[in-house]
Amino acid sequence: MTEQLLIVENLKKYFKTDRGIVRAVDGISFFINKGETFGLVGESGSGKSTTAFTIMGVYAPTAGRILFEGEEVSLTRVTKRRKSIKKEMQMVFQDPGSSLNPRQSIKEILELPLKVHNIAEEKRIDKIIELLERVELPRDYLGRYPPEIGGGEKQMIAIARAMATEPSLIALDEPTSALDVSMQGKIINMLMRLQSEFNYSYLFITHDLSLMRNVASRVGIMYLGKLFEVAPASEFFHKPLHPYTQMLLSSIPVVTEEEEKMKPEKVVSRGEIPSPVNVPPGCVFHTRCIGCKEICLKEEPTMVEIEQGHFVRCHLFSG
Amino acid sequence: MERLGLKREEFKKNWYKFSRNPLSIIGLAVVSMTIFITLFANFISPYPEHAGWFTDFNSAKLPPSIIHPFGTDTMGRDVLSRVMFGFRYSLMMAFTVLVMVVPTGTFLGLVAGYYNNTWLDTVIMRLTDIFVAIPSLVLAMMISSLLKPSLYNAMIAVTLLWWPWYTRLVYGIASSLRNEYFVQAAEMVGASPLHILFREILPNTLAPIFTKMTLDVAWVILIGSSLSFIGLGAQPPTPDLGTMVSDGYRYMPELWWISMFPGLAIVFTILGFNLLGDGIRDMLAAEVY
Amino acid sequence: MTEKLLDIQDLYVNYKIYEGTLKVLNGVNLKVGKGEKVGLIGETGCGKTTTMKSILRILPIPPAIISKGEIFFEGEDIFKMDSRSLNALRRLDISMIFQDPTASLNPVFKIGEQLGDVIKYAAIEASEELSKEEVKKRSMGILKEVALPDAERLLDNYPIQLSGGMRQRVCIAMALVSANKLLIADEPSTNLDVTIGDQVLRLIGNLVEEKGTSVILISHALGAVKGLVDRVAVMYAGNVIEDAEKEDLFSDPQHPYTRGLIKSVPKLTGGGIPEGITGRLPNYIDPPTGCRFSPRCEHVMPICKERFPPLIDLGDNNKVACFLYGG
Repeated sequence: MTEQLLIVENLKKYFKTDRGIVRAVDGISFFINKGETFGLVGESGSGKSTTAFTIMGVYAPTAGRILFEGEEVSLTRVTKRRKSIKKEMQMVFQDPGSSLNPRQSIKEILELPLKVHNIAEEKRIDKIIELLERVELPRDYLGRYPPEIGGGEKQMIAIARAMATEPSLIALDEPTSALDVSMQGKIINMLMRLQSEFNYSYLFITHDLSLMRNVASRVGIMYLGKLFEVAPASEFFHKPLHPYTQMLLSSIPVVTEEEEKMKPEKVVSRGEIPSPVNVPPGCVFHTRCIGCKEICLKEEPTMVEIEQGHFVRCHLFSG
Repeated sequence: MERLGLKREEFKKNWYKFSRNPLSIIGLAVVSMTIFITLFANFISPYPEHAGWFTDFNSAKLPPSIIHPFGTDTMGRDVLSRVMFGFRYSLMMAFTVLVMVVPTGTFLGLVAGYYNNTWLDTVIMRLTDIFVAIPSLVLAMMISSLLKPSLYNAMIAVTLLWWPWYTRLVYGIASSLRNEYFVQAAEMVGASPLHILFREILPNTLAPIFTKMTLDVAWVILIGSSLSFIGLGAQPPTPDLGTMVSDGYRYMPELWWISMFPGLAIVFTILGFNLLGDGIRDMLAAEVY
Repeated sequence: MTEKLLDIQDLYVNYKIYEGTLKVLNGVNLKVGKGEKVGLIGETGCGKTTTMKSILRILPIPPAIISKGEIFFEGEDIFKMDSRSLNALRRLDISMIFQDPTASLNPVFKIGEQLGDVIKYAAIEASEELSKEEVKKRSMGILKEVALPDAERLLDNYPIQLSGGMRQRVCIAMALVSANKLLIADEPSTNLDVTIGDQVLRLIGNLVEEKGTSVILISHALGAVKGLVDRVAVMYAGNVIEDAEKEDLFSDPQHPYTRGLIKSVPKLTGGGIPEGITGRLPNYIDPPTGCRFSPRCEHVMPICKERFPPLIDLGDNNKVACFLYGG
């Protein structure tokens, strides 16, 4: 039985703003197995990035539990976590420009994790060179500064940095959204290679469903802080159950004929995504759902397992 | 080896950005001259002994001439020499004040910015607000008059009122940088707060700090001279430029040279530092493609 | 072939920076017919936005320099127009939607004021006098056209009160007022969510169908372009290297770059992602001689390094700039 590396139980993260309470993450539960890529997909405001940040400890959760290798890490912000836990969970961010300190050399950037985790000084430079080799960048990048290198290369450095402490879990928040298609291909392939070589587990976040299809082994879709559907990748894309999943899949622009045929029947997306301060009652999606029933306005549906490993949160299935 | 070559390229590019505006070069020349005079006043002034207690009433109140290009004052002292030494006091004051103010103000700004939205932020920034709310000259006058008037105490007064501006400047940058991904990444890796303050955030604040420092030299000199002018700063016979202006103003306009030349020296210095500061700001500004 | 509305001929644009001269546009050729919808795809830095800004003459000059070439709009040379004609062009004939709707709207003015301004200037150009009520009526009308609910209240809102999708629709509304002949949309859906972006693109599509306006839709997302346009032009490092009917381009791309690009897009059907095209965009200060793609091309021949290939007509309105097909 595959080991569950990360378990998230009923995670909530609320923010207090002057316009009200934003329920960014509102009770989600999932797990990530060792060595797999778990994808979290959703549009802006869905809470997917906040989920990653909360798991990684940038935010302390409002409620719920986060279990890493069986140990609870929920209650604390990352700065208060045990060093040995910090080393195991690292993150690659969305914007390569602000992921690297423009005033530090690549060498300093890569050295920091090694310094913090007490790798001996003599061994550090070897490790840094090895990390550069992993992301296929030449040695002379050591003396360069982030403003001098391109966006794709900055992301590669960010990935090298995330791997410096040899973590077990790496969260990647839209790692290639800011990059062009050809650079994206290079980086994704690199990530996959490194995963099989070093047995990393990835929490991969993106809004690009076509990319997700080729990256994740299991996918979860979020909307306004809720998790609507979780399934193995092929199930998710070939047999989407939740109306929102279908709506999203039918809207993606695709290039080839086969992809067009694969898309579910066009569900014309209606309405705007509600403001997170003003979340609709009952099922949060009911304002835009074509299958909306009376119960959807009043009661929130529960997550049920329809098939092995395929979960849905929708009244159409938990009637 | 290659890094050295890169440094030269960087220097050439920075010089290009700096020197695009000829006024910046003028500023650089003026400031260099000021610093040179400050350092070598003893050697290049025609009458170095006139900078202290000296009287020669035979040569008093002489208008500008070849032996006394700036004339002499009521005590018979050569104004040119005194002005040269005057630069020394002005620059010394600016240097001392900034050496004390910049590190403290910056440190407080870093702390308040990184810990923004906590009690630390509130305490530091409200304290800053209090000092900033009082007009600088009034505050300086207040402090100076409480202590015995002297150059030394004038420096203390200006120091006490100057630090908040650096705190504000750095706070603004630090509090916005604090949420940047590279700071999050450093936290995630487990870096200590000291590292984050000084190795992650501080380097990104240096450019504006440096620019402000250059422009501030001009301001401190002005405030210092103002304090001296009203008698709260350097006392006679110290050849502080402000004191010299005040000594001579009651003899205007007949003995115009006694106030005029020290006054011009103040203008000269301030203008020089302003132009240099502008040039530095241009040099450090980001390229717009 | 439909009547020519816009004709960009052999456009060369440079940018002068400290390190040297960036020779960005290297002889761009593009034609848009009346009522035609053309997609312009290419990666970041290939010169799409520079080309579009040249049409409206909103390039920052200096540091930009138009060193060669002409752009004809309805037969008239845009670069030779005087300011009166240029203003008329911008107020009535051509308009542009930019990528970031937040940056396109002035945050301190209400939507009503900004939209009103555009309507007023267009009217002045058409020698119409409009009263305040007229302007308001037209504003509300156009907001309804872009499917924005509650138009009256919206006019009183500030941009910050609207969501990204709504702001983009306001920008489209503003562009529609002054785009009677040509609408240039620069990555209009890139910053928006997929579902909202989809709505925005369909909206643009419907509106131009109704009015018969020509469209140039720019994107680096290939799929987004496909849904809306009839023809696609592909740009690489300052040149249009392929220009074909949409179906032909996506099903059977001719240029090696286009092929590589389409292969690199992740497919919904799965199958992994190919490595992408080796190499990187050329250095514009010292670009390769001849075809700028030659350093990265697996079919490179000696002639590719000598001169830039002309756009070769393959029939069926398809053209490609590559020596593999002649020239």
